[in-house]
Parts: sequence; structure tokens; C-alpha cells
Amino acid sequence: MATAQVTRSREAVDHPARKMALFAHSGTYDHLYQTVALAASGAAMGFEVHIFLSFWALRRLAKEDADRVDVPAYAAARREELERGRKEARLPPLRKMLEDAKSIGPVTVYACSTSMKLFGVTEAEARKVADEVLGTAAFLDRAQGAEVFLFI
Amino acid sequence: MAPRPRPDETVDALGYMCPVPIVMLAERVREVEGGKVVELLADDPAAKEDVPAWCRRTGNDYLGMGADGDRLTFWIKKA
Repeated sequence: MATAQVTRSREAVDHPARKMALFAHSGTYDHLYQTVALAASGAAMGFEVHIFLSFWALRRLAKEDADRVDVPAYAAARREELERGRKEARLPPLRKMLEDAKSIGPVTVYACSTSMKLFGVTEAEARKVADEVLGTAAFLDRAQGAEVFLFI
Repeated sequence: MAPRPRPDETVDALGYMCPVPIVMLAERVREVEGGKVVELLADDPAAKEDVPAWCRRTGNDYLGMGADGDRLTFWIKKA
């Protein structure tokens, strides 16, 4: 049952603004879930989270239904399994999870300008999911010092 | 055995999987005053490690955990 041990970290107090940077490339549901779930956990834990949406991730979130379950070719045979499992696990919609993340911590989402050009993503479409339109140099600058930096 | 802490607030995350319980906890703890005890109900086994990690990271006090089968109860005191 309950243990009364009290733990408190000085670390969190001394380093309040540690960064997480996520370079989101893949636009299939399984990859996007990881991007959004890590952003939500990071925000909840006090990370300053920066998400760069490029290529398929941007196209998907700006122009398509984010929660249609699809997977890369290597996992095609397991797509229905994931769709069933998602319902049983009560996973929230991705946009809702991203909005929740933004409400609990500093999460900034960037739209890759080159990807917008490649896929005809308009400024209005990009703004539905992203806070800013950015290039990679500016993203690397924003992400400088990130202790977690992932390509997803 | 230590007594169960008396919660001021309860967050029911039963049936939800990572990262939802931690996000629900963070949302509620943000709203309460310092010194209040928040109780989190969860059955995602990952919460056993996630909740203490979240407390270490955010500087809140982890008061402990109780288990009734798969049903877990955590107590967190807002710093």
C-alpha cells in the first residue's frame, strides 16, 4: 500500500526550461502518434517543446484527417490490428492531444516552408496546426541545446 | 505501514494509456494550490514509473502509490 517516501528534485527547480525538439517527417498515423505523444509527455514534464512538421507529417496534419489509421508498407498487414487496439486503448484524437499539450506547457509547432511548396499547403492550412512557418536553419536555432532531439 | 495520504483532488485516468494519465495529472496539478494533495487513479502499468519521473522532473512531491490488483493509486503533493 502507500509509502510515505517524499522525493523532490532540485534539478527541476534549477533547470526549468529544458528543450525537446521533434523533427516530424513521417505522416502515417503510427509515426504521428509518437510525435504527438512525446510532445504531450514533454509538455507535462516541463520541457519546452519544438516540433518541426516537414514533408508527410505536415501534409497529413494540414490537409488530411489526422486520425485515419494508416501505417508504412512494412506494417500493412497489421493495420487493422492497430485500428482495433487504438479503440480499446481509448487513444485520444491526435489534434486533441496536441491541443492538450499546448495547454499544459510551451509547445511550438513549425511548418516547413519547403514542404508547403512541395505539397501545395497554403498558409491558412499550415496555420491550422502550426504556429509559424519556418526553415530548417531557424528550427535548428530554436532547438539549440535540446537534450531530446528526435527524427520521427 | 504509512497511512494513505488524504487527497484534496482526484484524477480518474482509469482506462487510459500513456501519455494520457500524465497529461491529465499535469492539467489538474497546475490548477490546484501549492500544498494540496492530488490522487491519481490509473491502470496503465507504465504509470508506476511515469508518475515518480514526472514528480522528479516538475519538482512536485511523490507521496507514494497503492495497488489493488491492476488498479493503481498515486498521491502527489503540489510543491
